Amino acid sequence: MLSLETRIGRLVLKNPIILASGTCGYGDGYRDFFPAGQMGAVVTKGISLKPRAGNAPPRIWETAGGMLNSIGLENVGVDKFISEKLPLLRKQKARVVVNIFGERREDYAKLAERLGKEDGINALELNLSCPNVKKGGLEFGRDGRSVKQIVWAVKSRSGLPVWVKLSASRSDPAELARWAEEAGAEAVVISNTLRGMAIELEKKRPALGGITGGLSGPAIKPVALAAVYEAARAVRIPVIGCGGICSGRDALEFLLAGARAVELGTAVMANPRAPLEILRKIKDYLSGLGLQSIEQWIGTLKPE
Amino acid sequence: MKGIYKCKINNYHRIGDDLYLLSLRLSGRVAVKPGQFFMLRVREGSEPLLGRPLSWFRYFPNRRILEFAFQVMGKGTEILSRRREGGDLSIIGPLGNGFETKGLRGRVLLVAGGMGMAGLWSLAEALGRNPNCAVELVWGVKSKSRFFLLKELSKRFKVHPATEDGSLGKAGLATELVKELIDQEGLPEHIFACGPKPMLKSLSKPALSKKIPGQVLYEERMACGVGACLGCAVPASGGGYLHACLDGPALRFDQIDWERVRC
Ligand SMILES: Cc1cc2nc3c(=O)[nH]c(=O)nc-3n(C[C@H](O)[C@H](O)[C@H](O)COP(=O)(O)OP(=O)(O)OC[C@H]3O[C@@H](n4cnc5c(N)ncnc54)[C@H](O)[C@@H]3O)c2cc1C
Ligand SMILES: Cc1cc2nc3c(=O)[nH]c(=O)nc-3n(C[C@H](O)[C@H](O)[C@H](O)COP(=O)(O)O)c2cc1C
Ligand code: FES
Repeated sequence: MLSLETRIGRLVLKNPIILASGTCGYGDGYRDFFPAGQMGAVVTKGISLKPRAGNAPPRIWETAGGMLNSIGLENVGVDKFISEKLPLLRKQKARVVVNIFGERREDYAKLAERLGKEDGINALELNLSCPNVKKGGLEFGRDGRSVKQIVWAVKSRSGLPVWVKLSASRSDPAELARWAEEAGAEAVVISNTLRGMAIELEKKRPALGGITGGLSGPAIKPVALAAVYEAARAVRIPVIGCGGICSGRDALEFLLAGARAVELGTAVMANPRAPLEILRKIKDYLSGLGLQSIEQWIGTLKPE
Repeated sequence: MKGIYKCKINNYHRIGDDLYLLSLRLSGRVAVKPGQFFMLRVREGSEPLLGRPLSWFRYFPNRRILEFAFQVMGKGTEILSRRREGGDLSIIGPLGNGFETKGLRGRVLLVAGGMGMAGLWSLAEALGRNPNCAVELVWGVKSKSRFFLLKELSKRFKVHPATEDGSLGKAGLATELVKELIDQEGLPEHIFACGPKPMLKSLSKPALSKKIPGQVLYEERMACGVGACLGCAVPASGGGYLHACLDGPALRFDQIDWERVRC
């Protein structure tokens, strides 16, 4: 029997498939299609201290091989998340990762303190890479020192495992990953969406209400894969791959490049069956090779 | 219950200029309400990436046939128009909140702009069966080749057609015709509307100022269609946003902040 178990720091996931932040609601957005508990883990929509209304529509624009989104981190805020969303999530018996976002550095620490007191949260994922908001996010994911401070603050205030979500659009994601590792992060997630834009030609205006947005889907896969490959060679903590993964083969490639798990976003929105299909494909492929454990596959890319 | 249905394409008809009627055979039964929609996976290879939202058009539970009527607008609907009988198609649904019709009585006006008739058809049929309602339709299109099944509709309901080029019925916009009707025959008890945003926005003015209760089928770009991405934002009258696939697509005029609706 093939074991798909994968260890992400203190956390053991039963398989390497994770639902990505913002694409599965507050973690249980696909409850009508499959139980979240069948996934390795689910990541919630980005949560902030105060509720956020998000950006003006249109927020979605399909592009060649991908899509732009400009949600602008709409969310119910941490209080309502705890009182209304978390109880639903606990019922799903899933590994729960809460994605958090702050406009100021202190916001992350405050969020960590609130969430650290709650049952049913297995890790915090820090969004230091959102291209869709004016303040915060990406700004902090630019320099190593901020990353280090924020990780340290969240870790000490929450006591929870900390995952750091970075953007593959930087020239040196590996370096930021090293800062995150040094500060005690238990994983880095690469990548968030990449900043992009679309124009409505006839109307002579930006397609998105937020003008620019974040690109996701197959179009960004090679960019994410390169960044994951480099980061996995630079740090000892687990790297989680994310960006354009749509098939079992895509997932297997990220694992081969050194990712210990993968997050799926756009693929699930396009096809709610994708996570279970991808999981099956991974199983069949690795069993076909006669492997006993996914460990025998992760990071085994040949050097030349 | 929301689900993923693998369907067989049972039948395909061209019903007008760039207009198609797609009939699918479902593997099981569904419970559908007027105003609800499905996401159709129209993919050919890897494009297009996202599903396409379409209102269900007619449903024949005994034969397990579900129909959609659509207009070719771009890549996805173009691919859909080339699909052939016997082929497979996955659909996700039924999604969203349909129209609220409880306790409805009196004169009910349905206003369709172009392909918006596809979203109102099932409602017209349902209200047509309600003995307390007198249904009247205003249907405006660019040119008469954009009407579909107009004869069938006219046999069962009082239909006021309008064309922008004057090729059939009243020359002008559906909204202008609605104003005339209100002036001549008084206020209806309820308005239901589906069509392009400029039409809905212009209709919202008399509806709100004259306090005519009404609902619209609000179309917004969607990625998931199931409430998971918060992509389908609709400016809400109290500030912030509603979500078309979750709170809608059927929404009351007074739930929407029309000032912030971009056309
Ligand atoms: C709830 C709902 C019900 C609908 N019902 C019908 C129907 O019964 N019949 C019908 O002909 N059309 C209907 N539409 C509109 C239909 O979804 C679009 O015409 C279609 O998605 C266009 O796809 P495309 O690939 O041909 O065009 P493209 O312009 O190539 O599409 C690009 C992207 O924009 C999206 N998009 C484009 N136009 C619209 C639109 N008006 N609303 C939402 N998304 C859009 C597409 O889904 C796709 O993601 C409905 C839309 C919604 C939201
Ligand atoms: C609609 C949408 C909303 C998203 N919201 C968030 C978010 O709140 N926080 C975050 O860290 N990432 C967010 N992301 C990024 C995804 O989690 C993921 O990193 C990205 O989409 C790339 O993966 P994919 O190509 O598989 O979608 C969002 C992506 C999309 C498409
Ligand atoms: S389309 Fe994703 S929430 Fe409505």
